[in-house]
Amino acid sequence: MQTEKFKPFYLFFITYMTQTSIVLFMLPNMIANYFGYNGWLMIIPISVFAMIQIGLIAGIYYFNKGSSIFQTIETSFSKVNIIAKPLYLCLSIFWSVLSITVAKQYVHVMKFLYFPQTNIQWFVLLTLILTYYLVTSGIVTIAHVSTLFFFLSAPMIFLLIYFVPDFSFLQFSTFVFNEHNDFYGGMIELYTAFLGFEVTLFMFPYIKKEKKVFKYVFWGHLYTTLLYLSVTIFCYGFNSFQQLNYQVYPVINLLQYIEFDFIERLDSGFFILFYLKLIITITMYIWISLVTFKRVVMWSAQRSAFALLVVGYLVTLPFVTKNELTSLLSLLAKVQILISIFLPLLVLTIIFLKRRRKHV
Amino acid sequence: MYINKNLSVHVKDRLDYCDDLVIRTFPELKIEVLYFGHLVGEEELKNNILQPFSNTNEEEVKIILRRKQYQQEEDINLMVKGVLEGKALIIYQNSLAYAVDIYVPKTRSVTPAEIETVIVGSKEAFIEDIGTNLSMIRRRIKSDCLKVLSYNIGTITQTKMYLLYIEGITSPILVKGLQEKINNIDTKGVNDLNQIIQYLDKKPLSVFPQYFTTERPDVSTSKLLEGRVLCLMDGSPYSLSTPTNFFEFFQSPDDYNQRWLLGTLSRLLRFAALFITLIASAFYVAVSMFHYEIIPVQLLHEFIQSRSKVPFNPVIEALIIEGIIELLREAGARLPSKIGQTIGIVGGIVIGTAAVEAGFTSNVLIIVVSVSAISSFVVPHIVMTASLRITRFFFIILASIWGFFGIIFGFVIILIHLCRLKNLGEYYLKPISPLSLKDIKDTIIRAPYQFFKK
Repeated sequence: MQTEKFKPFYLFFITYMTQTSIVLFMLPNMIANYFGYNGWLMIIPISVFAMIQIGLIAGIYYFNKGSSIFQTIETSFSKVNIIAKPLYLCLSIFWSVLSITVAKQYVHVMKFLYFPQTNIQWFVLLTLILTYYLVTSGIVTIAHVSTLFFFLSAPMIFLLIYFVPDFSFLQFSTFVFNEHNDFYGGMIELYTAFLGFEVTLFMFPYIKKEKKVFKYVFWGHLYTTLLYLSVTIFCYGFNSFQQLNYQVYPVINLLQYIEFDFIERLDSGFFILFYLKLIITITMYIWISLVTFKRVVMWSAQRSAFALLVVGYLVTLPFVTKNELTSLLSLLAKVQILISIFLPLLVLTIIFLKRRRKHV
Repeated sequence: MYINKNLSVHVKDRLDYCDDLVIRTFPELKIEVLYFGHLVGEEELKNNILQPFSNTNEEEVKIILRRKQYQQEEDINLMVKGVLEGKALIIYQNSLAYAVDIYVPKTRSVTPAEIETVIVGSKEAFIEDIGTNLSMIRRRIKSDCLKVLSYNIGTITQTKMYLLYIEGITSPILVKGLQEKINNIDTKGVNDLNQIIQYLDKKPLSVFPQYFTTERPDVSTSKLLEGRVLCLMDGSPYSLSTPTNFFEFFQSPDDYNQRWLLGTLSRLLRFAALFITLIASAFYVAVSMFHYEIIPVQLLHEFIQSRSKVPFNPVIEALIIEGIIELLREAGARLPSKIGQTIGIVGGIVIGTAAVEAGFTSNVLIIVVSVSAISSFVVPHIVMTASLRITRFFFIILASIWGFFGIIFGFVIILIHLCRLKNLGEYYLKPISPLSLKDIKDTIIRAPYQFFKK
């Protein structure tokens, strides 16, 4: 059966929707804590670094001529499968755990702020149901759904207009990076906010071949950068630096400030609308987990997705409190950073080695 | 089966115990004529049977039977089928059979559309006779590219069905796909095109309609011109078209017949109505159970006061009122229009006011539910309205359990479901998913005709 493919412009939506998640709500606080005054400037170099990574992935796509990276790895050396298969299994479980931790962190914040009496497990289970439903629909439907969800959630950016009258450049002050702590730790934390572009590495066989396919990934990444920059700049311009340092979720505080004639406070609505983005983020990670898992175990997509979600759910089950979830996610995100850097490098090395062998 | 002896006996044997079968004999001519009296036209019978065979002799009969309207039949199955379809079967010398089509269906005349009414534009609607319906379409498309394929559905009823498409516009894959589906229908019989649809549905458990039906010939014509395949069925005053997309159910001929700006605004209004009808009551439930903070302070007092007398949970309250609205709607649909108005008064004034005064419900909810019900009737297509009504209950229940999160959860489930739905290979949510910007000019909005390509 021929694989159904999607047009490359969907990569814009997939990249953006996978990158942005709950971290957006904490980003200004995180930046203020790590980088101090005018810390938003750091978004630019980190974004550029992520762009270099995207460049590597784009390079793999062109050298590979759009074929799957699994094929590249599996056909590199004669006995590579002995190492590759267990590695695939570990990676697929890792991504499943990562995605469910992301989901758990979001629902934890939601429960904490808006549903104090509801058990968090309900929200996790509902999220897993949606993820299962979406991930078993196939990547083409996921691409379509992410586009639809983009258009439903993206207009939220216009809410920033509401803060223009109260925005003050004086809040920025003339200091740059004063009162910063752990600059390098902050850079790593900030880089995790851009994670999500690496899922495109697994999509090569599902993209319709066109010229400049990866420009859409770049555009998606630029849009994420723009969103992060505008939200952080508005937070810096609206709050004082000290306020920003103390607010755990400064973006939610911003949303709480919005008031219309007919609506007093709709921050709950806006925050929950953000769930649309979260669903895409976790679905994409579960999807890469699924495609990796299917290289090892020949189960149907439904059965594999179910198994992965159950494993992810069980592994994250003991982590319940905010601190536990934050430290788990921080750890997993660091591992994911390593994967996002070294996996493309590994594949590129294999491609070059194969090419050299051919020429020899 | 080919028989050339005792033909009359064999045919009569097949049509045994059919007391409505008329047998006329002309013994001097050795002719027997068999037909069903209620299927044939008086005039046609007189012109083709009675007059030619009354004043003639045996020599001339052979000449008469050579006329083109008398078609010789050799297969006894076709002879019987012909009689059942309203033909008169002339058996000559008990060994030769000729069929002559004198079928005149006894149907009502063409009347204005009752369900899909329009303000500006054609008023006529399909009727139960397939021939008349086909003539309405042929009259509108005078082109040899309009192709008509004929089918008989139902092993017993043998109901006639036409599949129409325009060669050069409609994709042959679509035609083939639908042909296959029609050929796979295995049933004794069907009464209406809306039943056929349920046999053709790819996802029978979906709450959303997967085929577009209309009672309007002008809409059917435009569907053909858009490259869709159309079906007509005898006995059904509807046509179905496929592949269908979600947005078709929000279009009305008025959008095209009026100026583009008005058409566009009406369409946007309908999408707003879709949103309101789905979540108005659920929003009320979510706000009163979980998210009080969104109500402005000035309104909060009134809101709490109106709810203070109500002994039920907001979800029970909402379900009771929504249930009453459904009862009223169902009663209104079943009753003759004159009594139907009384139901409106009883429901609207008596139950509405009395329910608030008795402390059964808050007046805020009455407003919310009324707005939601009115919005559901803004959607021009009755089948979609029904789907949205069911979905509304789904949202109310979700909102009662998880507030806004429940509503978003419901939306995500429905949107994923809609994105997954396909009809003959075409996505149901096209042009939004998959995104096709060039097609949006005739779905969400109705752009001026100059913007449409030929």
